[in-house]
Amino acid sequence: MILIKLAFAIIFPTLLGHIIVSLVANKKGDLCPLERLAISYGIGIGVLTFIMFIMGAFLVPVNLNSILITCLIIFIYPAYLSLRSLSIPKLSISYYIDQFKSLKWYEWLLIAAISARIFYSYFEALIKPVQECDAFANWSLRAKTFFIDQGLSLSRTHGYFLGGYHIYYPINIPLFESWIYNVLGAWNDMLVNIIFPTLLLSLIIIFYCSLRRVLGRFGCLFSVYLLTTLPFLMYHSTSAYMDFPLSFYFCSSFILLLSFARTDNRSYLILSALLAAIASWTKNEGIMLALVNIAVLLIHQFLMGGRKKDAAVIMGYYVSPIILFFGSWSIFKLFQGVPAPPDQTFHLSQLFSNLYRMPIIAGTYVQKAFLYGNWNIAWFTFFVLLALMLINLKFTRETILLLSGIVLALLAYSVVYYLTSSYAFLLDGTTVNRNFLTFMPLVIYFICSGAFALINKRSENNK
Amino acid sequence: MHNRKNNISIIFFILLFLLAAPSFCFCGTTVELKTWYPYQGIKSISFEANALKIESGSAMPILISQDTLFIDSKKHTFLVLKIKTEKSYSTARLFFKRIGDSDFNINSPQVIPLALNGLYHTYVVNLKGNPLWNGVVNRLVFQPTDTVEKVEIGDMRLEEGNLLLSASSMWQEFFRFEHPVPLTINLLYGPKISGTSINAHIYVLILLVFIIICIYAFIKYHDLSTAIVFITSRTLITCLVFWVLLDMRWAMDQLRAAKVDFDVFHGKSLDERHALATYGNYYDFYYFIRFCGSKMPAASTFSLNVPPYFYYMHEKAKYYLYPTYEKADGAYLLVYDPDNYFKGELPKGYRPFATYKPGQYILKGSSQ
Repeated sequence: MILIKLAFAIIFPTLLGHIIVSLVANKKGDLCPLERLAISYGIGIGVLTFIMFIMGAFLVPVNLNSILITCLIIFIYPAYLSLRSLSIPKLSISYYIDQFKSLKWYEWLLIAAISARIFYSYFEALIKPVQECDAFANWSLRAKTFFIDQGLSLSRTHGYFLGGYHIYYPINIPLFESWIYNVLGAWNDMLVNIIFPTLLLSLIIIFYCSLRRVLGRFGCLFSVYLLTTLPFLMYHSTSAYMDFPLSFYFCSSFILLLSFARTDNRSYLILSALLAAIASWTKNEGIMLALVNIAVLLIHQFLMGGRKKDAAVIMGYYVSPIILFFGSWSIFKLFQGVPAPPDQTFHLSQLFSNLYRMPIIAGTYVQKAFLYGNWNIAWFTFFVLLALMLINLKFTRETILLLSGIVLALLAYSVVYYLTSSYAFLLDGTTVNRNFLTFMPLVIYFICSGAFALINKRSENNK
Repeated sequence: MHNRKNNISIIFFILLFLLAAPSFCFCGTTVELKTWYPYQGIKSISFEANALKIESGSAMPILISQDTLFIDSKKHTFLVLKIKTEKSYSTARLFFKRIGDSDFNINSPQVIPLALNGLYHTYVVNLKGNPLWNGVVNRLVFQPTDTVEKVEIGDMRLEEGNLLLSASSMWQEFFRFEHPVPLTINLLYGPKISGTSINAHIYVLILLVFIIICIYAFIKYHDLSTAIVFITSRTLITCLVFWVLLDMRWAMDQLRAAKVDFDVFHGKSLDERHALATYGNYYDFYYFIRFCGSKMPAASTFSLNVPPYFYYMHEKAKYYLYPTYEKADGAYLLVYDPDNYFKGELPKGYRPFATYKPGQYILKGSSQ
């Protein structure tokens, strides 16, 4: 019974997400069915928790019944619309059998390796309860508090206000965890870990489907395999920290932004904007990464040229959901008198006096990227590829956008370390790898799309 | 005649090399480390059947050597340790004091992760990786484990470096299991060879392969652009091959981590898993917390009194005990002192309320 409840806890938000995705990407061929589900899961989580947040902010009890009724009221008409426009994909079994039959032995090997990694992630996440310090001290404590208090715990005289600990952090995943507790009818911080490997699975699907539009099957499978070879990413996909969910939201959003840049299909743009907005609702750094996406969109608009009015409309599309999610949370914090995070307050007056930090920040980045086990040899390969691309002068618009995203994310984190007291966390090695984690899938995306383009160029030349 | 002379001299040199090679590869002087005295945390110690049998009574069992070892650290760079532990993945540590040092190297001991349980296993540790292993060492401190268990030391000695020991220590270092610990959430060290990240070794190898590819390409193709295209693809393929090879090593660690977690958590209740999820040797903390939860009324407040090295127990207590919540000067004072750090002294303003175990009890504020 508990497994059925757990399945419902995951399927329900996915359905909510699916309604939204179907309304946005309603043309056949916009997204493949699995990709649709993967994006729906991510968006569904964000939308469900946002509804729970609004309910809690207006002191409506946040329990299973009230959530279901509210979602029913909000989604009944969109569900009708999406059902009307829904074209059920024809399941041709013979097509899938042919696909499987055409797989080569090495592709089977890659599928086996990827499946083993996904299984590992589910196994490690579900065999033990929340274990890591910040995971239980902050995120899961808040989830438990919200569940027990049936709301956002806004009492200042009793219990932990806003769930306690880092109250200035957004509450997307804690609320989702409390949703799962509500469905299970009990606090179970072991089963709740299902969130994280499912995010990994979704990321893998989005990653694969996006690359499949530009690469062959082997190339895509190999790329996904490379993604699962990042030890640090795999480790985080089994833990209840928020860096991996943030990585999922930012990277999925970015990948859809690339799809938009490739096709000019606005469905991708809106889905990307929604995911970026939910990134800002997942962790404080999320808004910074959403800004990176906006900057990359601007670069794309600049490279494309075109009418200014169109560019303004596109930017409007992109910024609106971010304003909705991030703005609501910020206004709520303002009304509740939640202080700004002390370690993330910018000290512009130290712009010049902190110059000494520059080499230390750069040195730490180099050390963490190259000389530890976190990223296999991904960073080294990235720089080798970059050098080879420069020699071959093989830069496409897509690689430029990817590179801009990676560099801007890196710069954004550097600015935080440069101007805030988060610098202490750089020195003690607490956060740098976790920051890298948020955009590492993009590095892999860059390596794969770039490397296969270069290797294919060689085969073309040989022909 | 001249040829014959040459042949004889070649054979002579080969024989000489064969005779000398074993001494180069396998020989060297040894310092046996057999005399140890219990210092702290040792429940019992005995020497039976050529093995030192130790029963540790705490997480910090300490053995100390005599203070007149006078080991030339430049010469004796390998520690060979034959040890059998009861539990898997505990850690041994070697501390040392050199002539002129006022204290042992408490902050940078030689850490020896122990992998197997129930069987003797010989660990070869290259001490050159420890920056303080220099000068003349006159005293050693050995912590055979970091948990409460039985340990047997079959052999312990310091050896002069040779090829076999180097290869053995490199091999062990490369395949050493990086058991996940709380710090893993921020950092994975990754495999090392001679104290240097395996990544660095791989970069050098890739560079060497790159040079070979370049030479080959420029010999084979006389056209620069074709050579560059060839070099590009081959270099990328080389990187990817090393990437996949290194991943196999990581896959081994993931498999081992899954195996450990399976052994620890499989078949246990959620409560037991909560207890086991507390790192270190203080699994009973969770049961103490659960006991406190059953004794305190919901929504009451508590404070936690634990020794300062149990920092994260505060967070655990907050997490597990909600809806009772932590507050300075809470109505209840939960005292968890398994090591008798507070020497049984009761804080002022509190009276005994309930006891779970010696050193684990609840006090209630006198004003309540």
